[in-house]
Amino acid sequence: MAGYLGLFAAGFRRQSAYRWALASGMAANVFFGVFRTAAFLALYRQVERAGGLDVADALTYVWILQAVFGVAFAPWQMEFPESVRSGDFVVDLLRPGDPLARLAANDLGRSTFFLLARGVPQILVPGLFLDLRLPTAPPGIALLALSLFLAAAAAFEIRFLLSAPAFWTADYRGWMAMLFLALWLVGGFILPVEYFPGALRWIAENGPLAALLAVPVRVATGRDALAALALQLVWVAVLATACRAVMTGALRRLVAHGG
Amino acid sequence: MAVAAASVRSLAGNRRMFAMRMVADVGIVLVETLLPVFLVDRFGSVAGWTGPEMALLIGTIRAGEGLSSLAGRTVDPFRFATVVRQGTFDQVLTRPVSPLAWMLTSGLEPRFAFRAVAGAGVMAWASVASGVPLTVANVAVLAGAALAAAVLILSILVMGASLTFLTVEGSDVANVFANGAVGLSSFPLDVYGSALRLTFTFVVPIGLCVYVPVLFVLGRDGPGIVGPGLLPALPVVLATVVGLAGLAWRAGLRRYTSTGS
Repeated sequence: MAGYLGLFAAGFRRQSAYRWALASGMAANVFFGVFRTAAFLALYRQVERAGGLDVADALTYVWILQAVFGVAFAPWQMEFPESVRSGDFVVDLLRPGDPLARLAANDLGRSTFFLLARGVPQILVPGLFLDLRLPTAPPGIALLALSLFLAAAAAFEIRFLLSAPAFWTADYRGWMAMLFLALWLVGGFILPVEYFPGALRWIAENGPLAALLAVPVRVATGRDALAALALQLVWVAVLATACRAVMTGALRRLVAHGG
Repeated sequence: MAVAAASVRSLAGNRRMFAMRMVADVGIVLVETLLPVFLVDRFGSVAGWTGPEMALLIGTIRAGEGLSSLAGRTVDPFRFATVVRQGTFDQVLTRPVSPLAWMLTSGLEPRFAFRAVAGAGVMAWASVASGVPLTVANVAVLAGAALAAAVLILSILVMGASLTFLTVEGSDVANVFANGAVGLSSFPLDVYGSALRLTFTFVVPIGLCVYVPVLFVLGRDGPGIVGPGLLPALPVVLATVVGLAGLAWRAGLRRYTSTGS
């Protein structure tokens, strides 16, 4: 366990070393947040509620999205599949402990740094200037923090599953590009999932990708927060099982490339 | 041109991967086009714009982005920083062609042509659906708009790459402007406050490249001074931006000191 905590801390420190990347990533985040805020403010001058959301819900969506963006679309997402392809991953199999748990610990360390350094300010500062719907009492804040951490866990699991084609095919980049497209739409990164029509809305609100963004938004705005959190927990557990199955299958017939 | 042809040939080898990335690149444009569809469904309009009218903006900016990515990936400051740091840029300097021309042609990624084509497809559908008259002038203005957007994005990236000569790190702030300009162009500039609108019309003139030409073909008036009447200013402003990018590149190149090896 201490070993995994060490990897978690190493991931955290590693991500904190890239100061410039942090600043420019954050600048992009804030910029997108600002113009999305302006767009939603204009849209809600036409209509009181849309898809069950009012303007405070929509603005909260905008800034929770900015907070989890760097975690869901992590800048390091190609590192793992590339290490599988180059053969470097084989070295990792010689190390003590469980390879999947080691990957998870390190990834969560990096994500946690992003959540603290990029996420928290991007929720707090807009919360001071805009009319967001955020929890103010300690239990609500704790639930939101838990939900954001679970979103990071789900993001790691989804990243791992999307990278898995690298074990079997050299075309993994093509597969990943197509799968990320689904993530972009169904994850609710273009618009709140509540605006989607019919079946797409149901899938986006209840499917595995809801764990990334839709659930943290529901927890923040207090719409059936506990039910949403339960859904997120279930998906994190199901995805963990899927990751385990894929890892077992991949290691059974791993072909090491490189020399 | 020979360099460009060679880099295209080198990529044609892996057909299956090429096909999958093509699906992803066309898909991203189609997903973005769902934005106005869903929004208009929920809000009735977007600041008075219909779904197809807003889709015309999205098609134009995505076509421009696709065209710029076709060449621009190698001057993307994030990538260019690696080229400078690893000393690979020294090799570029020894070649008997202009370094900037080499950078822009050696990393052509044909898959982005599909993003441009998908963008153009969305433009065609959106023009018909929003009743833009099919005249030579309108087609020329729209094609010019996509091209202008591509030139502007490339100029921003070249400015960022020039900064890389000085700072090596952190010049990817240029991506904030390039990506931000693309992101913000999906909405009619009517929705933004005047500060954002004027900045992205005159300082980072993406509004002039996309929004103003679209206003022109739709026969709409813009808010305040940002209107279709600004269209004649586009070539002048764009030429200025390209000139500035060229000056920045020269200034950066003069200060380039190799990492040594």
